[in-house]
Amino acid sequence: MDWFNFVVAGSGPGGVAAARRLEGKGTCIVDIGITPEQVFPHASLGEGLASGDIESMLGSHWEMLTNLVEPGRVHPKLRAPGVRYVASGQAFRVHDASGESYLRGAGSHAAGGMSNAWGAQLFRYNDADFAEAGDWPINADALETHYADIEAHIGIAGEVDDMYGFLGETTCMLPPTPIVPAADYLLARYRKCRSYANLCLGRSRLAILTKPYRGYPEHGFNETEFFSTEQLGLYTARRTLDELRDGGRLTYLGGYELVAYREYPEFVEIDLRQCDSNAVRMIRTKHLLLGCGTLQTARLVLLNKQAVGRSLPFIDHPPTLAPLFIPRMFGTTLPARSFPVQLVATINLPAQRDMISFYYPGALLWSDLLADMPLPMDAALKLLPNLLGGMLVAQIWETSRPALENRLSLTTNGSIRIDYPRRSPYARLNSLLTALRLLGVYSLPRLATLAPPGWGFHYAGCLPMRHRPTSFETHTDGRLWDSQRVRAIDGSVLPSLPAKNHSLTLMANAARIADETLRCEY
Amino acid sequence: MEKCSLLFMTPDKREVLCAEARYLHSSLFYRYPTDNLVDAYLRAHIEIPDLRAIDTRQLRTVNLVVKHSLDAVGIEPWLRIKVRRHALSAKLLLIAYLAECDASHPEFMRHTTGGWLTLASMGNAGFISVFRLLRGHIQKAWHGLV
Repeated sequence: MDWFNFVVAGSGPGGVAAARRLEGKGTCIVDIGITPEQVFPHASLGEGLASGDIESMLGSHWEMLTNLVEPGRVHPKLRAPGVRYVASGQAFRVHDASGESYLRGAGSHAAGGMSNAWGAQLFRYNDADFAEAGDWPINADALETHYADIEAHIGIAGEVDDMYGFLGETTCMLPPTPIVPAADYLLARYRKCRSYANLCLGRSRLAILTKPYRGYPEHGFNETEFFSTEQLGLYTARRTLDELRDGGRLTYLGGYELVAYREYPEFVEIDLRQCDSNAVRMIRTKHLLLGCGTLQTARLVLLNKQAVGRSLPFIDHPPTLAPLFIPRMFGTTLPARSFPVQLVATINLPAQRDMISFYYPGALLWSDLLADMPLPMDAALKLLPNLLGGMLVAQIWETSRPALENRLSLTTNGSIRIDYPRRSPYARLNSLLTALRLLGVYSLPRLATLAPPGWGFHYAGCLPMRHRPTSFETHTDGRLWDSQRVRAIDGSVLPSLPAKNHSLTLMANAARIADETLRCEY
Repeated sequence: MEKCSLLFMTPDKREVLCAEARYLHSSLFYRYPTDNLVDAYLRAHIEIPDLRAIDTRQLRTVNLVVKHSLDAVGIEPWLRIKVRRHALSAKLLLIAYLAECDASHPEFMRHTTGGWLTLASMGNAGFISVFRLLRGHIQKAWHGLV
């Protein structure tokens, strides 16, 4: 039987961050590790559209039209043949207050996990974030060295500007990513009006290489984010996984699913199912680190404890989406290259934490936008080329805390059910729109939509860290409440979600837990 | 995409869908589609399950629109008020997606006019909208479309 000192289950951001700290120490990554079967054949969106090859753009099985009759059935970023594999993991349904299902989704079995489809925004949390969100048993100092280490590993593009303190004091940043003329206009207006803008605005912090870094090429800004996960210069956890595998300092068991584990005084015994053959293989380890993603880790723990009837807290960051229009920029030349994320902001009001990301929809097909425009489609099509130059989309996150009613549980057949009846619309939308109007950016509250829970992929809170954990909670060193050798290292342990993306903190916390595991004397 | 799957479509069904494709395309783009686009429209109706399972009342609306040469593009926004994705919306969108990806529709070219031409172009689109919405509303009511 194979024996390891450490087994990390999962190769998403948490898994690879932990594995980096444990390489060369008798470590094994267990991973289903699906990779894309189809690759987008064009170097850019523009090239794809110019090719006239409908099948390469819409998919040989019309995958890009999945939402044609049922809008929102699949997240727009997960439709394309080259991206669908990312959400091929454990299925789940999210139910509203009446029990009706308003979203179907899935976790990830991909090599690199959900990071393959992320927006690449990586921000630090600080003590003000922890205080505002509440329930964090660690402080920012505990994550500081890991933030710096991971940022140096990845390569972060950004700028020291008005958002620097809010996003975290990252040092050694690469030059910021280029922004489209509409975002440039907004930023320039803000800088002229900042004293009374009632808004803090600046460049985002992105895992994008704006110049070659550590042997990796820079990003091409080819607008293929909705068609492909294979983008040079855009960091995903798979890059770290590939480095770890190529480095030869740990064992990678790909094509294996962790189906069960048993903890004994001296070791943990793990059952792995080989995905191709269904054969079960057993391995043993001193320490097991579960990084399968919030949903899948929570499921594994519930199954391990035979607690099918038990429900766990569940947190998500369902964003509010609002189209924004900058009339001064209508009719401007559309950029040939762009990246979706342009700018970030926060409303500069006391004790209120939210984060607004400004996106440029250049990577979307125009047909994706037609049905959302309250106009006849031919008129919408005539307007779009002139409108897009002056259009951004605000994606707004607020602090998300556990609510008694929002729960994750397993059905009798072991599948994941999420009940999320408690959700509130963004209360400060009018304040945001007022602040933006001063900068020449316009929208209407009725155009804003609140995305359904589960749509944002910022899942957390199922096994929250506590100083004194009770059932189905975790110690601050990641150990399950009743365990010595089994730890959770992904979003499941985050007790609440400040308004910012949690990805970098999830990685830093996983690395911190890995270090704690190394310090174990057993 | 398998072209032979079209053989499993009844001639009546094929004729209806071809007429739909031609009419909806001309509503959007003021000209008939190419044979390739019509072909793709038919294949989509075989291979996308959602398009085979559309509500019969909504299909009746689509058939009436095509049969009586009603203003599909003007009627469609009114149907969206009650049904987020009516069959007519889905079929018009399908035409739009196919047109966007076949590289032969200048309406999807990513170029802009700039300056006063932008205002004129947007104003023109606004005027067309008002006219088509009015006409669409009247036709929807007159023909009892749901």
